[in-house]
Amino acid sequence: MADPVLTVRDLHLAFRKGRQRTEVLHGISLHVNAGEKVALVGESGSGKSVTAQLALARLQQEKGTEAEGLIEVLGHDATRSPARIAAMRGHRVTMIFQDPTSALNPVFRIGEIFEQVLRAGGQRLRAQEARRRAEAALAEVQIPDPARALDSYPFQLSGGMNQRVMIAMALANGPELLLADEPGTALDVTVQAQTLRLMDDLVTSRGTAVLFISHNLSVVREFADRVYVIYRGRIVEHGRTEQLFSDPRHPYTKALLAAAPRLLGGGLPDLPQGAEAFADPLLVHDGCAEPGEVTA
Amino acid sequence: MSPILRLLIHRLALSLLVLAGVSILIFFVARVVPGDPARIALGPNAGAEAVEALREERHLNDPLIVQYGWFLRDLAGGDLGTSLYTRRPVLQDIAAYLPATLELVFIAGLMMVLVGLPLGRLAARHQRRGPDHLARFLSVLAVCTPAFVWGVILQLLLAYVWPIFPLEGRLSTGVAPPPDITGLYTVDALLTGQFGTMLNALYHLILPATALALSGIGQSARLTRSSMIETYRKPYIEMARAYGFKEGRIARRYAFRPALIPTLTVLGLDFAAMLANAFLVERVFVWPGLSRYGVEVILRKDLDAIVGVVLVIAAMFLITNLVVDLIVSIINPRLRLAEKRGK
Ligand SMILES: Nc1ncnc2c1ncn2[C@@H]1O[C@H](COP(=O)(O)OP(=O)(O)OP(=O)(O)O)[C@@H](O)[C@H]1O
Ligand SMILES: [Mg+2]
Repeated sequence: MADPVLTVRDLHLAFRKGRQRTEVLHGISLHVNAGEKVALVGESGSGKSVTAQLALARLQQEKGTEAEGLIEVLGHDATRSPARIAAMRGHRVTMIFQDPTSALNPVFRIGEIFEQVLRAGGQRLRAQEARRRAEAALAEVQIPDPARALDSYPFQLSGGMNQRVMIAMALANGPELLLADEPGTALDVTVQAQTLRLMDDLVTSRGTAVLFISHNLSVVREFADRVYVIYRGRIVEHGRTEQLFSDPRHPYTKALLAAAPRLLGGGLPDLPQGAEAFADPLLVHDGCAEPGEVTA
Repeated sequence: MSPILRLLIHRLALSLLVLAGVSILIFFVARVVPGDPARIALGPNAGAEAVEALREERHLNDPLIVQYGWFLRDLAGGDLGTSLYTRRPVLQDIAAYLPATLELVFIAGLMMVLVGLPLGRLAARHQRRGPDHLARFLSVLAVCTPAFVWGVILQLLLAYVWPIFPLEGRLSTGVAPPPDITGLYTVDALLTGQFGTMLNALYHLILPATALALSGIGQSARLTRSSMIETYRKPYIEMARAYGFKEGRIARRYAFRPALIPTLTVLGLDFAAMLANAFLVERVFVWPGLSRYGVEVILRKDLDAIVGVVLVIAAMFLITNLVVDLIVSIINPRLRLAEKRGK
C-alpha cells in the first residue's frame, strides 16, 4: 500500500475563550494515501474545516486553541514542526475553497495572484516564465482565453471561471495533497458539478491525493474512494465508498442515507439533533483500518 | 471616455457648484454681521465724510444683491477685491501667505501617511500583542490632544527645555529666503540649489508639522488598524496563507491595498481638516501663514478678504477630495472598470 500523505491519529481540538473551553474534535483518526481521494462528510459544525486547517498548521499557533494528537502531512508533524508545513503550503499541499470569488483578492489581477502562487515555497521564477506557466495552467482547466483571464480582476469573471482559476492554482505546482473544503458550494449546482468533474479528472490523471470535505452525499459517492463520516467531532463510520453506501452500519450514517433521496441536490438532511444512537462508537468497514492498526 | 476622466469631470463640476454655494453663503453672512467695515478700517478718529466716501467707493451702501453683482463682475475678471486692512488686492495677499500654510500642511500630511499607515499596519499584524497595545495607546493620545496643545508641548520640550529645534519662524535669522518660485521655501531652495536654506527650512518645519500631524497620525493609524484587521478576516487572506504567501508581503501588499480603500477617503478629510487646525498651530509657532491674515481680516470685518480666505480654504478642501477620489479609483479596480462590468 502507498504511504499516507496525511495521517491524523487521535486528534483532539478545543477552543478556549476566557474560562470557557469547547472541545470540537474528540480524538479523530483518519488517513489519506498518496493518490487517493478521501471524503470527510458531516453536518455543519461537526469539525471538518478545522481538521483541514490543522493539517495546514494554520490553527495550532492561534491563541486559545489546544490541539493534541498526531497530524502528519507528507512525513512532517504539523504540531511539532509547523514551519515545515508552512513551507509546503501552496505547492506540496494546496487548498480549494467554498467560494472562489471571495477567495481571490478583489484588487489584484488574476495574473498577479497566480504569479505569487507559482512562487510558493520560495521558488525563484521570472515574471515571463510565471506568465507562461499560468497561461498553460489556465488552458488545462479549459479557460477559453487564458491571457485575458490573467489580465482580469476576479469580479470580472463568473463564479465558475474563478473556480477554474482556483483549481488551476491549486494544481499548478503539482501538489501531493489537495484539501478541498466544500469546493464551490457557493456556486450554482450545475456550475458546481461541472467544476467538480473537472477537478476530479485532473486529480485522477495526475494522481493527486485529495481530502474532500463535503455536505453532499451524491457528490461524495461519485468522487471519493473512501469516506469518513464525522458527527460532532467524532468519526462515526469509515469505509470504502461502495461499502458505505450499500451497507451503512452506524445509526447516524443510516439516518443520513435514509433521508438523502428525499433531498434535492444531495445536501445533508436535518436529522433529529442528538439522537442517542448517533453517539454510538466508530464502525469501520472491512479492510479500512487506520495505518498501524490491526483490523478487527 | 475613460471612467476616471468621467469621474474627474463630474467631481470638478460638483466642486465648482459647491464653491459657488460657499461664496454666496459667506458673502452674505459676512455682510449681515454687525459692524461697519469702513469705520473699522479708518479707525475711530476718521471723519464721517471719509468713512462715507469709503463706503461709497466699496459699494457698501448698495443693496446686498447689487453688491453681490459687483462681486461676481470682479470675480469674472479674476479679482477677489481689495483688502481694507492691507490695502492690497486679496489675491496678492493670499499668494503671499498661503504657501507657508501649504508647506506646513503638506509636510504634516506626509507625516500622517508615512507614519500613521505603517503604524496601523504594524498594530494590525500584531493584534492584541505588545506593538498593538503601544500603537493604540499612542494613537488615542495623539487623537485626543488638540494640535495647538501638541504645539505648546513640543515647543516647550524640544525647543525650550532641550533646544534641539528652533522655537518659531520659517527660517533662522540671517538666512535669506530663497527666490520666490512656488512660495514653498523647501521647494524653492531645492530648485535653486540652495541646500543649506532647504535644510534650514525643513528644520523649522519639523515641530509645527509634527504638532499639526499628530492627531492625523493617530487617526490614520487607528483607521488602518481596524481596516486591516477586517481585511485579515477575508477569505482571500485565508487563501493567501494557505498558499504560503509571506506574512510580510500580505501585510505590505496583499491585505494592505484592499484595506487602504476605506481608509483613504477618511484620511482625505483629515488632511483637509489640517488646513483649519493649522490656524492655531501657526499662532503657536509664529508661522507667517494664512492664519495670521485670516484672523486679522475677520476681526476687522475686512469683507473682500474674508470671502477670499474662505474661498481658498474651501477650494483646498475640494481639491484634496478630488485627489483622494482619484487615488481610490486607481486602487479600486471595481470603480475604475465599473463600465466594463455591465457589458
Ligand atoms: N477559530 C475558532 N474559534 C472558536 N471556535 C471555532 C473556530 N473555528 C471553528 N470553531 C468551532 O468549531 C466547530 C467546528 O467548526 P468547523 O468549521 O470545522 O465546522 P465544519 O464541519 O467545517 O462546518 P461547515 O459545514 O459549516 O463548514 C464549530 O462549532 C465552530 O463554531
Ligand atoms: Mg467548514
